[in-house]
Amino acid sequence: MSEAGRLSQPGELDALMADVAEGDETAFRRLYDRMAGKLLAIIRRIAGSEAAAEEALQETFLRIWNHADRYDPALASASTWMVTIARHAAIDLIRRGPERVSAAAVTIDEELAERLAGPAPSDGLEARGLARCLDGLEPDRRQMVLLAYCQGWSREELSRRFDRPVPTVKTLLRRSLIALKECLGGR
Amino acid sequence: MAADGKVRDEGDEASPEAEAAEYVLGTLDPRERRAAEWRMRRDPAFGSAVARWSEQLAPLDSGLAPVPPPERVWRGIEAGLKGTAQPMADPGHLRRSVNRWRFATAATALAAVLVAAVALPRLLSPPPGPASYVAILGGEGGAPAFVASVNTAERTIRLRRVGSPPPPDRSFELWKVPATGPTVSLGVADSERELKPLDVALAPGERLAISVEPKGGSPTGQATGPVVYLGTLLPAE
Repeated sequence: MSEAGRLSQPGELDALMADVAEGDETAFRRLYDRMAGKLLAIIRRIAGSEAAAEEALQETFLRIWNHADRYDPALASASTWMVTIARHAAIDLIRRGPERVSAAAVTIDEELAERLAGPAPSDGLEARGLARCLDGLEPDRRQMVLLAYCQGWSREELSRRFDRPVPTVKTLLRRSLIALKECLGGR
Repeated sequence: MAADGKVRDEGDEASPEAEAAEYVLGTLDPRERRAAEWRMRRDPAFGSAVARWSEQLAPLDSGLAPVPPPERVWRGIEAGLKGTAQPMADPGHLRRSVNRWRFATAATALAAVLVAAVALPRLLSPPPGPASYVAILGGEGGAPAFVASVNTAERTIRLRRVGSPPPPDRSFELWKVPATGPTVSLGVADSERELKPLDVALAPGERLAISVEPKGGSPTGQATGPVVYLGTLLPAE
């Protein structure tokens, strides 16, 4: 089941989502089998421990179950919708906890930046486009965006790490995102 | 214009588009985030912007290899669906408690922690004389991870691990969590079975906790890593 999350056909996930919205528990289990591995991988980057990651994954699927009727296939893929829920569940969990020690995060971040610098050949057009546009950002801003997205850093955590006031972090993040959008040919 | 990070005016940063982008990034503060979620449900243009940003940033997750979750996660979800999952129905409990515990103000917060293994009759007063106690330490999934037996006559604590071992570069550490006062380390708990001498008093109703620490145990005398398992001491018979 582990690779299934990535290989699932979008239409298949949409069909499962429609059944889940109707309260179909069998469909829900199948959706879990398809997506839990992928979502756990994403959550683990944000959560500070295995226990916290499992907790966030559990919360993610409860939210998926409760809000399946809010999913609109016209707007985003089911996979993307679930990823957004998972990331927010993980972020909710860590923000309730104590400040994280950033040392571990720094190493992972460097690995991440490395990986993004040269996208794998298997990565799609979108990934290459995003990597190219991220590359166009100043290094600090790129790091801020990546730490926030991939590891769930808050403005306050970024403020300390980059030694900039919180409002400045907010402005820099927003400018970076708008620049990314323009680079990606934003509508 | 492109990706040089320059914007022409303040309006761009205060725009709904920027708000949607930061929502997806995960950096909105709690109040802003609630407002964004409210708006998503009422303003289709804003909802579309959020969806678009989710898709645009999704490649950042695409390189990750899936991690199959342990079966206990599904069991917790199932229990949650049926509304019976005490520990996971509000996952905040353990986390919040851990937080406060770590700042050593323990007691009252921990009293609020609900762990499935602890859903046993509460004890109001300790039985007289030497007695033996047991505690089943469980995590958020509700599955037992450690069984602790205390022999007050011999002043020993026997610890048996029934769950996963600690990560290779980490140690489990056992803590006594009294009703009031600071937590006390009862030593590292990396072995599957262990008989430890007990040099502190333990009483029923007190809690035992396992945290994840640097290899060899906490360097500070207080838990520095997340508390992953908790259980309450109960009389053995």
